[in-house]
Amino acid sequence: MYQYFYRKENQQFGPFNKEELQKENIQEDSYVWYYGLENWTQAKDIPHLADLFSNKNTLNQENNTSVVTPLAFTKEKEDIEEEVNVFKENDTKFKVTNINTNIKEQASQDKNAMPKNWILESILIILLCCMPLAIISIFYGSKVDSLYFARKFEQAQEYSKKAEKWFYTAIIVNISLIFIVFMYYYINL
Amino acid sequence: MSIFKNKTLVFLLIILGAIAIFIIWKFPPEEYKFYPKCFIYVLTGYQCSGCGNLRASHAILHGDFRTAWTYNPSIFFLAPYLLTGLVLQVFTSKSEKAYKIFSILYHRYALLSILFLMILFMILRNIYI
Repeated sequence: MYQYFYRKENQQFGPFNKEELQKENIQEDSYVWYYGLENWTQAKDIPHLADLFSNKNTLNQENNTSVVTPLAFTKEKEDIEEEVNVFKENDTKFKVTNINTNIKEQASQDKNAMPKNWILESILIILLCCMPLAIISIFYGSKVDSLYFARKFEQAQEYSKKAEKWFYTAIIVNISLIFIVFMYYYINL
Repeated sequence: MSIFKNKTLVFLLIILGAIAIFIIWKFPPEEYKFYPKCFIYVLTGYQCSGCGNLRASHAILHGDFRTAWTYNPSIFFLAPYLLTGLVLQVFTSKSEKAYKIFSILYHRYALLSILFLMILFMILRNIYI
């Protein structure tokens, strides 16, 4: 199975398999990429995703004409009424939960953007500027990608924020340390 | 997403970089005392992996690559690699090619292995030099 990614407003979402991609409600002209594809291409140009758009309409129709399971005729009227009431309650509950999950999905779509790992920046300041404290930022940043690919989006976001925080604190602490050492050196001269 | 969120920041960074390059080119770090000292070297007496970068970059700016190599050989590989990475990161959201190159060349395992190699380099340079 392919692992699909798609992009929306310069942010990357994924990985999804095909069934999950269907739920993400992508457009025909939104860019999709999977491992092995050379460039990001529009979803309508990928042959094995073409049925994803043609199926959408038919799927909706099937849902609308879903057959209600016939009730047993041997039961008494009251029983039937009760059962119908229960069925209705369940149905409304189902609808409510469905709407809730839809809202949650829409909210989490923005969170699912790939968070930034601060490894490149921290390695740059460690190696070129002698700022070894940024190794804490690398410790957090190296977990961001693997958490993201394990679909633990909130944790990935959290670690990304921690990495960012430690990146800036490392810069501030190291500059002040260098300044203190410099002053000490300067006075002793 | 990136550090370069707005144009004024980029402009400021370019100007600061130009001033820094001019200062390093004009004043040799061996003779002038206003340069910051590496606090690892001052406190412990051991050279860190970045020690000698200022002197080496001064030598490079004057075209003297051989003495730059004796100060710190790692700057020849690291400075181009990491600085192009920083620039490339800005364009990842704009072009697909930049995104592809960035995700392969600056993968987290590549960066972490470079960090590991530099720690090895730091230990070896303190033993043998």
